[in-house]
Amino acid sequence: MTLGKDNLKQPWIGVNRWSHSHPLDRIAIAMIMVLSLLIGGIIWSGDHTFPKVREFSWQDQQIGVEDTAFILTFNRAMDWQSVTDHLKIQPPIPGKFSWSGRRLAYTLNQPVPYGQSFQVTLDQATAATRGDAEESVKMQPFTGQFRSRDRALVFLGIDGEENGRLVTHNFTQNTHQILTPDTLIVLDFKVDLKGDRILFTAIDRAHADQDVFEQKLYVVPLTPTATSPSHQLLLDNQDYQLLDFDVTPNGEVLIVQQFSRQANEPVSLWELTDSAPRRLQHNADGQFLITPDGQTLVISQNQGVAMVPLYGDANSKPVDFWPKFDQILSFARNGSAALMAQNNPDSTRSLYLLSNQGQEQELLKVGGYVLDAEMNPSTQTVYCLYTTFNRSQTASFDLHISAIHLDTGKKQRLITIPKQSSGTLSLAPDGSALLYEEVTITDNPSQSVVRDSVGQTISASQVWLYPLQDTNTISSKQKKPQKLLAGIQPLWLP
Amino acid sequence: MPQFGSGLTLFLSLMVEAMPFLIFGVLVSGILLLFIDEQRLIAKFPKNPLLGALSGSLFGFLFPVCECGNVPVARRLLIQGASAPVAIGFLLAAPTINPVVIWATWSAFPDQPEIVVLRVVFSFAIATIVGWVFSWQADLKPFLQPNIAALMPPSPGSSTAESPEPTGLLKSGTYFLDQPGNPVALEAANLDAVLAIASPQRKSLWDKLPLLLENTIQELREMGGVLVLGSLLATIIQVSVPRNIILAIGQGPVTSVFAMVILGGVISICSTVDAFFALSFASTFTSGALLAFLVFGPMFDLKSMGLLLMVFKPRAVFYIFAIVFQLTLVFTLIINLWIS
Repeated sequence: MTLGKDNLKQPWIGVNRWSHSHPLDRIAIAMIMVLSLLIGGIIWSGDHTFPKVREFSWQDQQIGVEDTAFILTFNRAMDWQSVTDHLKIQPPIPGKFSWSGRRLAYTLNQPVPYGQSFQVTLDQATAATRGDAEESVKMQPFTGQFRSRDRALVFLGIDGEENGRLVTHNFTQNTHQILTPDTLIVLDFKVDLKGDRILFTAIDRAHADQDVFEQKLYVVPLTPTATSPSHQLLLDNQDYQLLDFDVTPNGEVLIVQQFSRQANEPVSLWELTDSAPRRLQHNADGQFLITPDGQTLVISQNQGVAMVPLYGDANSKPVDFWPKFDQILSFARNGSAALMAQNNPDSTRSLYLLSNQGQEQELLKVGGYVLDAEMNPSTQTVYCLYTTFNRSQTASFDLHISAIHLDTGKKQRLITIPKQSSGTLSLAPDGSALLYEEVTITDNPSQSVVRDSVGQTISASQVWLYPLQDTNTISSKQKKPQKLLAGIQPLWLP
Repeated sequence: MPQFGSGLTLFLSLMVEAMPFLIFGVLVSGILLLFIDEQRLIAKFPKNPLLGALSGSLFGFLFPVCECGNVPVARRLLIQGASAPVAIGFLLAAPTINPVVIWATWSAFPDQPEIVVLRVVFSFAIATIVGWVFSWQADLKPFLQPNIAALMPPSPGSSTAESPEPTGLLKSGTYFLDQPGNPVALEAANLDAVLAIASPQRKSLWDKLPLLLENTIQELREMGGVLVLGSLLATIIQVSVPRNIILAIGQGPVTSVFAMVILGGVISICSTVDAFFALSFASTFTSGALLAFLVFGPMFDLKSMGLLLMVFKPRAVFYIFAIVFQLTLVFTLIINLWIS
C-alpha cells in the first residue's frame, strides 16, 4: 500500500460527503469537535493548582542515628534558592541541601540529638517559573514534625529486687522498668533494635551457683505491654552449652557459639533463624563479632584475627587475616574501620585502627589490658576503656577511659577509676555521652548474685554518665561525670 | 568532555534498566502467541459494544505485547471474527494494560504510584472510548485495507469488491521463523501458512521451542534497536539542550504536555521500557506530561502508524490518532491544571 494523493484526502471524505458517510465518520468527527472544545475550555480556565510539599519522608517518624537525611518531595519543580532560604527546623539541626528535580534532600552534619521533637516549616517559597506562567506562585505553607528516639539505657540491676535483672531507664519519658523475671540471673545481653527486643543469656536463680556454661538464651520485649508475653526461651542448653552470641543492630543476623555436651567436636557457630538453627561452616573458639553489614564474621583466633564470610562453605577461605592482632573490639558504624587490640612482646597492649582499605594506625599503647573501644558517629574520635598496672598497689589495676582524636592524634584521658580491673563502656548513639560503671567487689558473704568476669561477687556498682558534646572545644575540666543510678554493664539503646 | 561522560552514564543506565524488561516482555509475548488458542477466546467476548471494548482492553493481560506486537495480533483478531470494539480496545490498551508494562512502570516510579495507576486508568478509558466509537460502524470493512477485508468472515451488506493491493511500505511486525533464515511474516496474505506454524493444535511442544527462540531473537533485535535509538535520543536531549530550556518547557503545565505527547509519538520507544525513558524526564517535567507520554506513546507513534496503515485505511487511522491524542490531552491537562 502506498500513501497516494487520494489516500491523504480520505480523512475528510466524511466531511465533504456527509450524506454518504458511514456512522463511524459521523460519530468520530462529532467526538473530535467536542474534544477540541473541551481542550480549549480546560486551557482557557487556567491553572488551579499550587506548589506544595507532597511528601516528607520523616513525617511523624521516630528517627535514630542511622537516619541521616530527610527528603521533601514537591508536586512541581521549585525555586531552589527560595526553598533553602525559607526552610526552618526547630530546634535547628545543621545540615546540607541537595536537589534532584522535585526532591530536596537535607543531610544532617551530625547524628540527630536524641530525646527531642522537631518541627519543619516551609512557607513563602516559590515554584520555579513555569514556561507559560507569568510569574512564580507561592507555595501552600507546610508544617511537618518528627522526633528522635528516646534517650534510654538498659543495664543489669544491682540493688534490692533489681539484683541480677535487666532494667531499662528512659530519660526522655522518665520511666524505669524491670524487664526480666526474678527467677533468672542475667549474665549478658544485646539489643535487637528492629525487633524492639533484648536478647540475653541467663541462669536459674534457684541454682545461682551454676557456672556460666549453664546459661540459656532468652528474649524479652524492650517495651513490654500488658498483653505481650514477658521473656521467652530462644535456645536451651540440652545438647550444646552456650558460650557467646552476637546480633546485628538491625536484628537480622543472630549467631551463637556452642559446645557439644556429647560429641567430641570443636566449638561451633550457629545462625539462629525462624526455622531450624543453621550450623556455620567455620568453627571459632575465640571471641567473635558480626560486621555491621551482616555478611561477615570477624573471629579472634589464637594466631590472629580472621574475617570469614557468613554464608561461605567449608572450603571458603577467610576474606582476610591479620596475624598481628589478637582481638576485635568494635566497628565504625559505617563499616569504614575496625578497632583491634594487639598483645605486644613487651607485655604491653596496643589499640589499633584498621581501615577497610587495610591501613593500620596505632592509637594507644597501655601497660594493662585494652577492654573496649568505640568510635563516635562522625568517626573522628575513638573512646577506649583500658587498665594500667598500679605499681603502688600489689597486683592491682586502675581503669581509664581516654579519647583519641583521629585527625590530630591527640590523646585525652577522661576518667580514671583506681583499683578496678574490669568494666564496660557505652557511647551514646548520637555521640553525646559515655556510660561506664564503678564497681565494689567483696569477698564477704553478700546478697548480690552479680559476679565479675573472674567470679568475684559485685556487691555494689554505680553507673556514671560522662557528657561529651564536643571534646575538641570543651576542656575536660568543664565537664563533670554525673552519677546516674545503681547498676552494672550500662548500654545505651541505639 | 564532561557532557559526553554524563551522556554515556545516562545512556547506559537507561539501557541497563530497560533491557531486562524488554527481554522478559518479548519472551512472554512469544510464549503466549505460540501457546494460546485465541479462536476459543474470541468466541467468548461479549457482543455488547461497550462490554466488548472493555473486555478487548483487558485482553492485553493475556497477551502482554508492546505496541510493536499488538498490531499483528489485533489484525489476527479481526480476521478471525472479533468485533471492532474488541479489536480496537485490544489494539490501544494491550501495550499498556498488561502485567509486564505495569510492573516496569512500577519499577521506574516506585515513589509515584499515581503515575502507575493513572497510566492504566487513562489508557483503559481511552481504549474503551475509541473502541466504543468504532462500535457504531457495524461493518468495518470500508475502513480496512482491502486485503484484510477480503480475509474477514463475510457479513451482510459488506462490500469486498475492492481488489487487494500489495503492501510493501513497511515490513515491520511479528515474524515466525519456520526455518532458520526463512522468516514467515505474520501477514494476511500468508495467514494460513502462519497459522499453521502458530496453531497450538498442530505442533508439539518440542517443535514450538525453536520457533519461540527464533521469534524471541527476531523481536529482540527489532525492538532492541528501537530501544537503543530511543535511549540515545533521550540522552542527547538531556545532555545537549540547555537545562533552562528543558525546565521552561517541562514546567509549563500546558507546554510540557504537548512536548511529551509529540515526543511519545515521534520516538516510538517500546511500551515495555518507555517508563524508564520517562523517568529520565521525571525531575524536570510535570506529572501530567509524563502521563501524556506514557499514555499516548504506546497507543500511537510513528512506528505503530506504519503498522496500522497495513490494516486500516488512512481515514480510520486518522480517527484513531485524533481521538487518542485529544483524550490524552484532556486527561493530562486536567491533572496538570486542576489536580497536581
